[in-house]
Amino acid sequence: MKNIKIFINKKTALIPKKIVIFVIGLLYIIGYPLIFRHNNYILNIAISASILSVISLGVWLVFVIGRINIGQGAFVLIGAYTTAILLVKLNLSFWLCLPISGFIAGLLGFLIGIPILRLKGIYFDMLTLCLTEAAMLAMLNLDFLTQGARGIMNIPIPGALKIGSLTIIPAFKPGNYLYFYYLTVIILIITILAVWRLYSSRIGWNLQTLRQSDTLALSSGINIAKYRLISYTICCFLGGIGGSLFAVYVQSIFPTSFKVTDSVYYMLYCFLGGLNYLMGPILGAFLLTFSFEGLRFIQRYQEGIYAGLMIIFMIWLPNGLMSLKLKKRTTFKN
Amino acid sequence: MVILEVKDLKKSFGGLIAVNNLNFNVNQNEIFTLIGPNGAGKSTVFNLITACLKPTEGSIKFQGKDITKLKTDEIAHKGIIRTFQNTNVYRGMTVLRNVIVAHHLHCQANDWEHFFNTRRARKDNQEIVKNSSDILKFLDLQTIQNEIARNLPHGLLRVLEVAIGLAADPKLLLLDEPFTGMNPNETDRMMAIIRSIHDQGITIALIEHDMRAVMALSDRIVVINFGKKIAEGKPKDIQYNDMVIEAYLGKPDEEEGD
Amino acid sequence: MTQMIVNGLMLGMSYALIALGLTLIFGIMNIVNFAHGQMCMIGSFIMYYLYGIFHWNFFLTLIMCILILALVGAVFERFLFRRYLRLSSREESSMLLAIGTALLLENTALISFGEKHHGVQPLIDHVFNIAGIYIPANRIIIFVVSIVLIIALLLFIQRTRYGLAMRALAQDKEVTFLMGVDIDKISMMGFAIGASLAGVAGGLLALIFPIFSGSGGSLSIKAFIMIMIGGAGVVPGAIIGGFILGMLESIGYGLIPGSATYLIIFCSVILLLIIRPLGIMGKPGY
Repeated sequence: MKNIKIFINKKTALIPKKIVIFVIGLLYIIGYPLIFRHNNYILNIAISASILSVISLGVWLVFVIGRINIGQGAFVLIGAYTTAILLVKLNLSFWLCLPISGFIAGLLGFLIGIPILRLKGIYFDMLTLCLTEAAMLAMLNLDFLTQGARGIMNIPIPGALKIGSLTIIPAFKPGNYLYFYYLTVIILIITILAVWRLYSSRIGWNLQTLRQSDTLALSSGINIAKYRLISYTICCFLGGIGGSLFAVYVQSIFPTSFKVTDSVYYMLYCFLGGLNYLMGPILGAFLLTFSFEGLRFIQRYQEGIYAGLMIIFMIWLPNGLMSLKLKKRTTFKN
Repeated sequence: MVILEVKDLKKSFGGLIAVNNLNFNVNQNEIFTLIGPNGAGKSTVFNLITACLKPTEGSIKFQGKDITKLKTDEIAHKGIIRTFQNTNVYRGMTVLRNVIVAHHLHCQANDWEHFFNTRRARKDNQEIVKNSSDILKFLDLQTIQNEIARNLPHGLLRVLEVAIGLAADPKLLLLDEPFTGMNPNETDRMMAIIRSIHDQGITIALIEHDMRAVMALSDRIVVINFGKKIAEGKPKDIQYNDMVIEAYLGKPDEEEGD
Repeated sequence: MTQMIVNGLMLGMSYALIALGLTLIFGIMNIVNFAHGQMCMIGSFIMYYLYGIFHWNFFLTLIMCILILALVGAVFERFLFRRYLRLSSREESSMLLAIGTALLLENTALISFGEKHHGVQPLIDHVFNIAGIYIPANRIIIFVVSIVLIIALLLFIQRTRYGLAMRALAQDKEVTFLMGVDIDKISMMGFAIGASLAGVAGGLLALIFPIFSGSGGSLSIKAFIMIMIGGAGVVPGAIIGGFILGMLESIGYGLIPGSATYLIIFCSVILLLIIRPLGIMGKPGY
């Protein structure tokens, strides 16, 4: 047992009780929907939370390099519209739309990232904030593509994924949210594994150096522009994937579907869970989504409560919820 | 054999000329020191060599090839690694991590291979961990390898900086005031370290103020003041050079006894 | 076209006020005041209630805008930011705190004031016609008051001891502290002044723009654009940024129908920042 603990210690400080979390995660994924199969309400919350987690994980990746990305909403919007347009106007299969949306969002992120990642701290922050607004304006004005303010409605739910005559994924049944649940959760798991793999590899180390000292990184031969771009592009890609999922889940999309406030919420989930931990954004997203939906009657005050939370957390628990775990561990070590 | 050639190097910031037509060479496998009073432009020279600043005029050649137009990370690839005057380490990471991360240039495998953890990437990782241990043992840091860098005392931080520099597999190591802020014990330790690095075949160029260390270590010294070279030679030649004394102490207008 | 330019100039002055407030706070405390737009919005609501509904004197209301927002700013600094800046392990958190204050103000306003758009009666119901250009008297008043306030601020910063302390604080916090300056007091003053500038700008703009609780968001974005254009933390940068945005907005809305104006402005800002990564007059070190 002690050996395992040492192993966990050495591996990465990110997923402290890796095995425990993994087991809990597995139980959740398998058992949960079976329990709540007929309770659409809770399934729906889980679906939203999963999608938000994917999006926030992207934002987290940019926090790793020491930058603040307040523009994720723009790429979620772009991803959502891409999927919507491809589905409605071109009748493409959703299973193609999903990766294409991610790719387009990532590509745009890449192109925008090249000039803006060079900017210093606050200029970058302010510009990303404006990006969300700009995306909304773009969607509003590119009428011919996006139908402007009318938005795109009646987006079809995913059809079957067939290769030849083999049905890999059956067509989604309307009203049956179990399909969406498995879809979003599986994508979340894949995302977590992929980001974790990235973070533990050499690429991840290099990303971390950018946050601490980029002159030193340069002197060690690390091409900081390249790694910044990697982090930002992946973030935007994940945003696009999230948007695509939202589009088929909510089945309608408008230029105002994702606003600056949403971009801020993605950041909030990261902060709440803890910026130093990969599972942080996921914890934050799930916690807030569940507690919010559960307390529906206070929806009107949602912004205010989130604001209060932000403020309280920043003052009393600046390193997020997962730092509570960390505190315990350091005392144990000592 | 000359490893670094600095020719007609000039750097001006608007009206201020920091480096003025500087010419010097560094020979392979020597310990070369750049000295001069404060503000003479020494760190600027290092910044110019490593492309942290762009020269206004002049050229820099490393192992015969012109590196003037290259960027900092490309220069690091070529084999020139530097440390900084204000201690620059990754403060949030452990000592061991600091050194591991600095091995970026060592890797044979590229980013994709590392992401998919291919055999080449894993081999890289093993080598890096081993090399890091070796470096830490060499610098006598292995006992604190799991300490977070920001908790270390100043003297050890500077040694860590050297470790980070070594991890990048330098052919030419530029040390910017490595002895600053050290007590005599730490200074002796650093001197021994520099000597051992030199014994490994690495060329070392230093900027330093601590004259005891400079005189004891250097094979050759170049003295600059106001961005210009005012003297060059072996330590004993420099010690009694009039111009050098004048640069540091000023002209004697009364014989107060030097 | 000339009409648009004149409009832009007048608007630019008030925008400059907003930008100055933001840059002041940023320069002194190194915090981006995300709530800046919301503070303008509060100023405009003060104008709505006191001047619009209770018919107070216009200039007296402006003074109330200044005072109330100064109080808000001081409270934020004293109870939120001051504690916070000492605690966190990552600097990004102060940004989240600032965003939190913005959301808090916005939501409180939404609940207190509702979603309805409001307007106030003009101060003087007259439109001047000079050489074919229409200039409403309202705008002239806004223009003049803005200029007066900007000059007052500049004098304060350049000529008074407190202004000097603020400039010193913006340059180097530690040294200023070592010189015996009460950093806490000066920071609070700086935040209060910045906030009050936002408030008074909001109050002034209430004469010509609709007043509603959601106006904060877009005003914050405008403020950021001004800072990005002109340069963060430097006073002339804020003024220039304000002017340029005022002009771009006027000309844009005049020439291009619909909301494409700001889209173009955003793209131009990105282009500008590519060429001059610190804005027109920005200094490195931020």
